[in-house]
Amino acid sequence: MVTRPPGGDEHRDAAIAWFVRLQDCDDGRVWRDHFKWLEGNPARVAAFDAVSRLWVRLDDLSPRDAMPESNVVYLSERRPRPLRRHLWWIPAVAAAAAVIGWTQVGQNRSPASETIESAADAPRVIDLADGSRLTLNRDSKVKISLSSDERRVELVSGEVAFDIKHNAARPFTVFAGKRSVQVLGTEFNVLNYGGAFAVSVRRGLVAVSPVPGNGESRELPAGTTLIQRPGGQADSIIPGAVDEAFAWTTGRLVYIDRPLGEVAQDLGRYDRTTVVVAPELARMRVTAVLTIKDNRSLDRQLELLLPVQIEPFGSARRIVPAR
Amino acid sequence: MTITTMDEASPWLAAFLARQVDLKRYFAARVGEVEAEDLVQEACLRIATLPADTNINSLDAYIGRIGHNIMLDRIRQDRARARRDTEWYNVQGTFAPSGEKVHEAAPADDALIARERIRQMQEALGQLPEPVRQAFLLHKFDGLSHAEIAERLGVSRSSIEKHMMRALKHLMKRLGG
Repeated sequence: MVTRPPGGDEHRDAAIAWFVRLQDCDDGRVWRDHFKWLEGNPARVAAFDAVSRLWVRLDDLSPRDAMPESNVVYLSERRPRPLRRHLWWIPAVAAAAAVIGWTQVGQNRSPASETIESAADAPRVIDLADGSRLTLNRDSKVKISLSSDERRVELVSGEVAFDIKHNAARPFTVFAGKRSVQVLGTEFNVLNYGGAFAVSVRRGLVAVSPVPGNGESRELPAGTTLIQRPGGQADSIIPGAVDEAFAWTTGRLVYIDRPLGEVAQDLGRYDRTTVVVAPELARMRVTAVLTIKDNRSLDRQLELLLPVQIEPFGSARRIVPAR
Repeated sequence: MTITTMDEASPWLAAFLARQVDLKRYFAARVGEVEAEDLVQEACLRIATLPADTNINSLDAYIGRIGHNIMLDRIRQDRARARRDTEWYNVQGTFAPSGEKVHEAAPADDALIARERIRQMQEALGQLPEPVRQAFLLHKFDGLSHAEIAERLGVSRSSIEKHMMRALKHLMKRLGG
C-alpha cells in the first residue's frame, strides 16, 4: 500500500529527519527549532503526524514478529535447528517459538501431557498443531494435553497469553489453581501467581469458573478483565485493562490507574524476589508504561516516573517516598 | 498518577510555567487550540511529579521531549480506543438467536487483518539491508540510544541516524503513515 504523504516527498523526508534527530536529543535549541519548524505550517504538521503514527503502529510488531523465521524451532520435527542469535536479539526478551503437535489415535481418554516451562529471564512462545498459540511470560509453567476431543492446559504458575483457534469438536479449557476458564475461539491472558488470579479477554468470550463454593461461573466478553486478589474470595470484573494485561507480550508492563502494590508485585515476580510498599505510599495509584529489560532497569524506570525510590529491605526491596 | 505532595512544589514547575506558552503553541499547531489546553495540563502534571533531584541538562529539551511523548501517547490512546470499540461491536453482534455464542466470524476477520498488517510490517522490515534493519530494531524494540547502537556496531552516531532515516523512509513508502 502506497500512501502519498500530505505535502509530498519533501515534507515527508524533512519530517523523518526531524523525527530521527529528536530521538535522543538533549539540545534545547534543536527542540526549539523543531517547534518553530512545525508552527503555522499544517503541511509539515501533517507529515510529522504521519511519521508519528507509523512509529506507534510499529509498536504492534513484537520482537518475536520482527525475528527472522529461521529462529522458529519445530519440536515436532525432532531435529535440532541452530538458533541463529542476532546481535539485536537480547536474550532477556528472547522468545524461542516451538510447535507442538500430537496425533493420538485411540488414546482420547488419557492423552499424554507435556510440561513446558519458560526461563526466568525470557518469555516463550508455543505453537500448537491446531493453530493456537500460547505465549508464556517469564518463569511460567504449563501442562498441555491435547486429544482428539478436547484440549486442556493447566497453568501451574505464572502468566500466559492465549490465542486459541475455535473448534467446537475439541473444546479448550484452561485450569489454574482451583479455577477453570472455558474458551471459545478467542484471545485472552491468564495470570495465576502468588494467590492472585486474573483473566483478560481481548477477543471472543470465555467462561470462568467461580472461586470454589462461591457463586456461579461468569462469562467474560472481550474488553473485560476478571481479578481475584491474593487471599480474596470475590472476583471483581472491570471493563478495559485488557491491552495492559497483554502488554508484557510485547516487552512492556502497562499500568493505568493501578495501585502501587500491584506494580510492586510485578517487580518481585520478574526477579523472583519480594518487593514491598512503604505504608505511606499504600494509597498511591500509578499510570505508567515500563519496558521489561533486566530487573534493575525496571526499578530505575519506576524511580524516574514516580516520586519514589527503591531500597534494599532485608532480603527484599522496599518502595519508599523519594527523598 | 497521583501527586502525593504538591506543597513542596517541584523545582521544575516554576521553570515550566515560564515556558508553557511555547508548549501550548506547539500543541495548538498539532491538535488545535481546544485540545491544546488539556495537553498542557498533562505536561504540567508530568513535570510536577518529577523527583526534585532529577538531573536535567536542558529544560527546553526536556519540555520538548514531554510534548513529543504526549503526542505519541495520544496516538496510542486513539488506536486503543478504536480497537476496543470494534471488539465491543463484534461481541454484541455475534450472539446467535439460539443463545449459542457464535462470534468467530468478525473477530476472526479482525485477527486476520491484524495478522496481515503484521505480515506487511515484517515484509517491509525484511527488505531493509541488514545493518539498517539491525540498527532500527535495536532502537525501536530494545530501546538502545543511537549512541549505544553506534558503539555496539562500531560505527559513527551519524551513520546510525542515516540508517534510521533510511529505515523510516522505506517503511513510510511501504506502509504509509
